[in-house]
Amino acid sequence: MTIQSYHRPETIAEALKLLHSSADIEILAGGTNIVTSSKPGGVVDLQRLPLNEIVVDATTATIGSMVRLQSIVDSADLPPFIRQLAQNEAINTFRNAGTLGGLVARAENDSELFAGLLVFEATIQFEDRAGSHTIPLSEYQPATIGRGIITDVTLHTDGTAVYERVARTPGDKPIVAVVGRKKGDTITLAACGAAATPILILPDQIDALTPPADFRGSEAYRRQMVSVLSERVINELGGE
Amino acid sequence: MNIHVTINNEEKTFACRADETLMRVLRREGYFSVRFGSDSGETGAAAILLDGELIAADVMLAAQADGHTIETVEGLSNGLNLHPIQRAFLHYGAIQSGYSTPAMVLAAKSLLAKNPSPSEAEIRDALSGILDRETGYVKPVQAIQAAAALMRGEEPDVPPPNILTPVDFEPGVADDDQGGFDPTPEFDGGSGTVAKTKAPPQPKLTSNIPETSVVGKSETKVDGIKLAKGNPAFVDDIEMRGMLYAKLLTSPHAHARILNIDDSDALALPGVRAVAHYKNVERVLYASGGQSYPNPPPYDQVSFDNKVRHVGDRVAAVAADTLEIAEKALELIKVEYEVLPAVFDETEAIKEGAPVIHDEPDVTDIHDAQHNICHHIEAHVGDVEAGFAAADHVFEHTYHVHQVQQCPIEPHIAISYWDADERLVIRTSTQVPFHVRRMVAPLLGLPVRRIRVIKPRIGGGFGAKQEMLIEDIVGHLTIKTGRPVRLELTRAEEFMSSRTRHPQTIKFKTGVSSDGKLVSQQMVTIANTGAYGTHGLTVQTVSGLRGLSTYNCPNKQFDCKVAYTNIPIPGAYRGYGAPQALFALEVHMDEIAHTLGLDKIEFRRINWVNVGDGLDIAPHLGEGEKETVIDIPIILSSGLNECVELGQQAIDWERRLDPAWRTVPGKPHLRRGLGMAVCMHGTAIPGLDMGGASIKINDDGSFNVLVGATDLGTGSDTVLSQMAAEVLGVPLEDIIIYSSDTDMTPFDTGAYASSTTYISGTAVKKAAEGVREQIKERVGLMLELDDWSGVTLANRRAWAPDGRSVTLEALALHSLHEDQQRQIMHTASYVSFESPPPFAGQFCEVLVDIKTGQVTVEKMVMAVDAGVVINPLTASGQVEGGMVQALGYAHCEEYAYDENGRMINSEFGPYKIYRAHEMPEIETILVQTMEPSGPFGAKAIAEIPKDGVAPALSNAIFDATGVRIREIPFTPERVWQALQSASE
Repeated sequence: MTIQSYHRPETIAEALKLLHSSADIEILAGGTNIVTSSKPGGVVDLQRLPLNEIVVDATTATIGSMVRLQSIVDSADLPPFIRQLAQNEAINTFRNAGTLGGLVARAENDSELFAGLLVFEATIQFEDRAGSHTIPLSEYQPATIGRGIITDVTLHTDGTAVYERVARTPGDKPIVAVVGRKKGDTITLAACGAAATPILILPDQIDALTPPADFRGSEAYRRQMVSVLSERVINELGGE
Repeated sequence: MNIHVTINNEEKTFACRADETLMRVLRREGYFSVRFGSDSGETGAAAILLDGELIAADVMLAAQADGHTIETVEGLSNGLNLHPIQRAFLHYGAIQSGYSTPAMVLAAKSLLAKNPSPSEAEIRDALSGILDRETGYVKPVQAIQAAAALMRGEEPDVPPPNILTPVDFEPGVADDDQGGFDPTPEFDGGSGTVAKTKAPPQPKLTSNIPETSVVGKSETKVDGIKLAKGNPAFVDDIEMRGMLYAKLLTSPHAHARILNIDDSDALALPGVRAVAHYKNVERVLYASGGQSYPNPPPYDQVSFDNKVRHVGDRVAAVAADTLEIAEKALELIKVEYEVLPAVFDETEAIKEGAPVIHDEPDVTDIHDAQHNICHHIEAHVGDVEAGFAAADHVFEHTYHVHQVQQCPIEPHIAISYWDADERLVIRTSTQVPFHVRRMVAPLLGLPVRRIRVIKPRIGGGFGAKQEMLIEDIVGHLTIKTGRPVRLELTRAEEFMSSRTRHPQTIKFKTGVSSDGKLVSQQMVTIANTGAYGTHGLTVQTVSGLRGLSTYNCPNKQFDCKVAYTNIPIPGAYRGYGAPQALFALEVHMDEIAHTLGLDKIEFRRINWVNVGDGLDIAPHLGEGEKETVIDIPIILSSGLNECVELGQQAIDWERRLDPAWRTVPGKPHLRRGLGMAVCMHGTAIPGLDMGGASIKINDDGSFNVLVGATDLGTGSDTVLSQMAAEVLGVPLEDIIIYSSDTDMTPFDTGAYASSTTYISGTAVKKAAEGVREQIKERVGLMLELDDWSGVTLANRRAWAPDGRSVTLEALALHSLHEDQQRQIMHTASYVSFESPPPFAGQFCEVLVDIKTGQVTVEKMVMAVDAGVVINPLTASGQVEGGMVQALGYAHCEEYAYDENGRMINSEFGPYKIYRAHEMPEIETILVQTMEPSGPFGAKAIAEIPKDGVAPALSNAIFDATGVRIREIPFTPERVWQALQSASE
């Protein structure tokens, strides 16, 4: 099946209508994945929707779903840690095309930015025909949104954060990465490469993880790495 | 649908389908600088600027670009007026094949528009989207730094290549104060008579290298302008009316018999013009490796077989009006398979009871088909068993090297068509146009004279294109349809259906005397040649030669079984058996030195070959089974001592003894270490590699140089032109070089075996010398000289000894038009029975995380003796790019398979190649020696950079952690497992 129709709606309502016109129509964000993976029958390109804003207040930032990853890198208003994770997330051609909404929707298990958003208590706002909804990013599953459209992601911007990773090369996707944030006395951890998507983890429950194995890392190795890197992150954040 | 864009400041409307990528549409509209590297955006070869930002046009729908502004390099320059970024790429040697140069130029343009003074990290990030398999990113980064300076109105500050004054090894110049070392001892046919002390030999600044004016200079590439501009120069950059698109149907099974193929539904699909498979293509046996006649046996392939032997093996090919119809037709071909048991490991494959991969009755010359043993190679000098018995210490270690791919960013592509004379023209991305013509002829049932092979610019090859790989397929389909046919491999096909590097299991056993001298060395290899033989024999003979040549030893033995398995086919890959052998050898030598408590470098030094030593195993390991080397080759030049010393200095070798340096404050899990390896390679295949060149003068005193040599991005056209210019006394711009076209250029074996500078270069030099003689004779006529032997050529003039001169233009006009008219021209060819080895010292610095196994390579230094360097810019580029490929081999590149032999990482990303923003520091040092047998003193440089990184890394990891890893690549879990095992 190849793409037969291309749509570029002007409003979210129009986009939702198109999405419901056929089960075979998918959302096109930056496009870097849809072209290479599953090819739907039609695509709805969100580039004209008003989802390109970054709005920052004292302790939170709200990033529109069509904001490019490079715009996150370039936004002086965002926490340097999040900007750094956005920079690490992809090569520059993909940062210039790829969007935050696309990244969140795909929830790839090696996305360090996704893990970073988790520890910064991110919530996703999405719209479907029933209206607008907000859910914690930690509860997101690709199926959650259904025939809806992610409109923006809101994260907290306070606290300090660090990350540790193991990868084949410095610029490679991580095999395992652990991101940690300390706010007050509380440390929150999230891990990549530990489950089907990046997840929040608790140090005493690492042994129960069943990471997805591939040629870059077996299940046992990944589990061990989550443990090693979590310990490092906690140390760096001054935890115990 | 239509899209409206502003492209290069022009308003344009393009028709496209909803599913078409921007890359496909732009190429169709004639923007050929936007190039195919993959369909995943990972190569960046198709990068363009969209509203000023660099994006990969192969992962953007054309429809997404509607209403936007696009820039390609076609809009950057006008005629010969290049953009400053393009000029910088040209002058700083940032262009090799040039396939991805347009993308890099655009990346720089976008960066500099926003940031006129970028840091190196920012430049590297700007290039992070573009995979480069050629330059190691060193020179593109320098070029962008220079361009930024130029655009700011400043003078660029970029260091020139690190190149040392040539040294020579003159007889009788031994300096006794240095310990009685004699650099040119009489060869005694046995172990070294030379290394009596630790003092290195003392090379002298050479006195016999003539001054040169073009050779030895960092001239810019002669093909650089068209590459910087993205001009249509590659195979796919032409438009042919009525051209059909071919697609391959490949096997989903690792081993299966094809019981039946039914192509009726596919043929019924409108737009499908032909389907080729075993039922309708004649069964003609061949071996696909691009090698000299007669190709080494066995001939174990046919164009289409009724058996498949690896996932990705050919089943059928379709030609259709469009790519989409061809793809749809593949789904309509019904293939009935009988799936057979498969075997993937070389050691398992040769065991009793393993599935027999070549059971077809018509193949001959397989050593033992029943046991999947394609070849059994044995060679020896002396008696290793007696040597082991006499040795004071005997060491034995087993190593394993894995499968990787060459990954040229331009995949294999060929276009064939009938010309007006009813001859079949094949325009193909090949390193071996002449071998392709000869090898494809019997498969197509055409005489050689009815085939013309054209090699335009090539987007890298690295050995993958030393193969007659897809030319038979387009040929069959053009013959079936009468139409032009184009076949381009996808990236996944490039991984699974082209060629790779041979995996090997290598056991080294070495006997050492109490004074640290080698007395016996044995190399026992089981090599994996995959489903077919192709280069299986010759890669392994080279592997044995390289494994047993670096060190003097009176008793040597090589024993190698070449095994068939059901993995995608190994073939030629830059280095050709040497990287495998030298990984094993150089780790083994390190292990011996460590165990004996010897200094790792001194132990090597007292054993390594020096000037005057003979390579005694060479006569027994000629190219394949043909003993082309009769005499023991003697080393006439070696800068190995200097390479190792300079490498030590550059990496600061003594740091490894400082405990404070070996750890990182605050990071107790990190360990630093240094490792080194000695490298020695060959230069061309003695007695076999031959190159031809033809030179003629034009009306204006310029010269056409026609060479069969195949520039695949290496810069050989430039280097060959420099040699011609040097002899003819003209600047480089007066040389117009053309390579290669079987109708137009003299024969050349092709671009492989590090042969072009040495072999084709000598052919060019001889041809130029022939032309020079004719010019001198003409000057004699013009100036009425009785004796013209003293005439010299310089500055575009021919000079009589009495000081009178004529311009070459006047001379050409005189010769072509005025008096005793004659075309001044000369053709020459060259074959050598020498293969002078280049030498190198490779050094690496690593940081190892002992809790995760992650290895970070911090610095690589390679000091190379490649003889006199013809062009320091292109030569250092070869070293930088080769070293980075070697880093991928050692560190992160690998084929991953599922249990059925299907590759699961056949795209970039999962198959990891280093990118610009994650590179270690790289330093290249060119140590020049005067090689008496080479043109202007040159030896080879193309392949030796592949040889030392893997062992140097293993040795550095050992230095850092005390754990020895005898298998590559050094990926985190493997290193972690080794650390775990060691701590248990």
